[in-house]
Amino acid sequence: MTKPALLLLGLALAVPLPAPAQEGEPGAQSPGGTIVVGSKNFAENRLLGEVFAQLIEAHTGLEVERRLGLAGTEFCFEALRTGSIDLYPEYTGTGLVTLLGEEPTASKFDALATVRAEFLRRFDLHWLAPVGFENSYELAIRADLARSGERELRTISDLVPVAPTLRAGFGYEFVERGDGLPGLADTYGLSFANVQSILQAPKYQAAAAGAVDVIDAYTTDGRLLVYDLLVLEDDFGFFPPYEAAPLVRGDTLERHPEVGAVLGLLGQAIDEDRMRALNLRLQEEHEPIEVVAHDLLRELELLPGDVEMVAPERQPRDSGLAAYMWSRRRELSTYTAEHIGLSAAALALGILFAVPLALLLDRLRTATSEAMIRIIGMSQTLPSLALFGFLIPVLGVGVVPSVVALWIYSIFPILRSSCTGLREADPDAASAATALGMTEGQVLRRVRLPLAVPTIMAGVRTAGVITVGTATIAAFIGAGGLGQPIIAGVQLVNIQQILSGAIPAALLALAADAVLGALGKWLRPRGVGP
Amino acid sequence: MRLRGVSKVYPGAGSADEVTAVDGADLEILEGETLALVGESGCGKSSLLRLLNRMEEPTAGDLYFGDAELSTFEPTALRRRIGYVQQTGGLLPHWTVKRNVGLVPELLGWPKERRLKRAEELLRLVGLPAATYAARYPRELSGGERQRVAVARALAADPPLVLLDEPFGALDAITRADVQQTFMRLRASREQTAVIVTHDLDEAFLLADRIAVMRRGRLLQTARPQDLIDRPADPYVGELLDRAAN
Ligand SMILES: Nc1ncnc2c1ncn2[C@@H]1O[C@H](COP(=O)(O)OP(=O)(O)O)[C@@H](O)[C@H]1O
Ligand SMILES: [Mg+2]
Repeated sequence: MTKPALLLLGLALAVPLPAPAQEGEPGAQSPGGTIVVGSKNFAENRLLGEVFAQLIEAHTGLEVERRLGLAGTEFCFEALRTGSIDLYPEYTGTGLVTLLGEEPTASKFDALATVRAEFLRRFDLHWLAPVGFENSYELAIRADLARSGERELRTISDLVPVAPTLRAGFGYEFVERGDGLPGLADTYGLSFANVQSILQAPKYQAAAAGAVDVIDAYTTDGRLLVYDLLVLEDDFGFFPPYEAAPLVRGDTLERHPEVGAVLGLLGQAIDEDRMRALNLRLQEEHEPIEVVAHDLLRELELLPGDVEMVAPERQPRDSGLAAYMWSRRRELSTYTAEHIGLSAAALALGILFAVPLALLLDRLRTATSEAMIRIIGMSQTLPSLALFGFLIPVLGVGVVPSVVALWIYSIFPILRSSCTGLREADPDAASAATALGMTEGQVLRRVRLPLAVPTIMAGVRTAGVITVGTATIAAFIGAGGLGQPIIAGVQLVNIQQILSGAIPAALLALAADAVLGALGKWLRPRGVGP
Repeated sequence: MRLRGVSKVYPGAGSADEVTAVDGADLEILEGETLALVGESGCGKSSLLRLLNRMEEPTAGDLYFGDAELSTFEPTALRRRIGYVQQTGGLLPHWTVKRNVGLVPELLGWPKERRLKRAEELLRLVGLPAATYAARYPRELSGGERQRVAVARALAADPPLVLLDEPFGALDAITRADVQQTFMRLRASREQTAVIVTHDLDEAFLLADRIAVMRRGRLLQTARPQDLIDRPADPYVGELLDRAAN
């Protein structure tokens, strides 16, 4: 077999690689009984997602697929609405304010009643029984600042006069949302010396280190128990109460009414104290989410006696990174395989698309080709979250939109190098070949394309490294990969967890560079290049 | 081959003005002769040459190949019957020497055996024994060897007409003399018509039966070398000859 034929075969094999991960992907379309459970990307929501999943597994014959850690409310909601997940844990207040765009209400009963009616009417989505706890925003201040000298701060109103001297560190959503800082500042006349946007988890450490003075927190955040912070009373009752509840697609409940019945078992089962303690185990003890979920269901006596958990090995707290990674080897090898699959598929599609496109643009050889390359170049600068924002309504979440996003990022380097290669590959040889009677097609196939191979492969190599490096974003939309431990680790400030994803990801990028470099060498025609 | 009132105007790109590279050329290329096209750089020699194998199309005027208008020939088929050597050689860097030499025969569908035999024969004629050179790639050759291969390639399918665009221009003086000798030996044994472009009048005198002098796109005089010296039709021709003599 010739080299080009072998290469095409390799590309064809690479494309279906991640197919296994895709099985039963749009849960709504698998009659055999798969339920896809999603969650947002913070500890409490992940935990609730895992609890839902284990409960359904224990009490029904349904398969459960987990798409935990989707990047934010909008992604979860879009994924649910478009049917790429069947359910996820949502908060009534978020549903009311963020998703419906209505005014916050002080009554949790009103909030629940409104979202139930409106979600059913507009989206055929069902709010099942709330799981019990209320979660709301709180403002917390460093204890040493709350009580210094004369001063003693207890309420948000007390904070108002001193706020102009204080530095605030707030979550991104909190800074933007009407039921967050803007409304709060209006209601209380509150203004800070400065406001920084920080991720949920590092905020606590920033406060402990004295880098910020005031942070926003969730009622159920376990870290309120361990950090030296004082929660300020919302004396004007500004923050609406948010109840957590499973939000489920109507057609899912129709096909599998047992899902609704089983999730109903959780109704009012988890109060604030319990939730705070569970969060603490995740946030500070860094216990695996599956274990904490399993323990909870045991305590609530919601597991049939025969359900034994295939527990991930528990990890003594202060052991080294190597021991940590060894204990998670099963997950890590899955993540690595997913990562390779996503990258290989995207890169293969990138080559299959960009090289023919370069040939086409080369034929047109007009100003439009230049403009087209430039437009495709701009796709490179699209932030991945924005790209997902466009893709999710169309493609849902999971493997498909991830591969598409990575594919989009891979096109430009390959296209640009292919165009350059075709244009600049020994024009003398090409013109001599024409002058001796080769047709345009022969010149392309026998002269320009082979001579462009080294340049094209340089672009493929670049694209490969970019793709492997970028594939961590797949974890934002539930497609797994090595971004999974990185993102989860960032949220939980678990350095070992972050490194357990980051190190293999970096090694994979190096390996991709080496492999594609060697491939380029092998494909380079003899007589050309160094 | 005959040219009547042939002009070639390149359209100006962007802000650049259009360029009249060939301006009303009348020329008859006689069968079997070696015609040299001389003139300073940029006067339109290459453009004129490339009109002959339809690498360029004329803006005005008529060209005839035999009795038929040149434009009636299908360009690729025509080019396979016209040998061509360009200044830089234009060897395909990813093909071996023998495959380069066999390029036109390959396009014409000769069987492999015949192609190889032909390539070996030509390599011998240009002074490059096949045993040493056939399997090499162009980058493993010196400049002079590359031009020899390019000449061999142009002659491979025995075309009735060969066009050479400053084939030895890039070579140092000693190598050039050497390759010129080889070329003359080859010419002596053949009936081919050849048009050779050069900016070097000495080369023209050495190789050509007739010389056509070009200036700024115009053909000033086409004559045998001796006639050029005896009866220059234009002061520029005399000037050129004086300069070459010094
Ligand atoms: N493809 C082209 N497009 C535009 N201008 C050209 C092109 N080829 C040659 N010219 C111009 O035509 C003139 C004659 O060029 P050329 O035939 O290459 O001259 P010579 O071979 O005698 O040096 C020059 O001014 C050159 O810049
Ligand atoms: Mg020239």
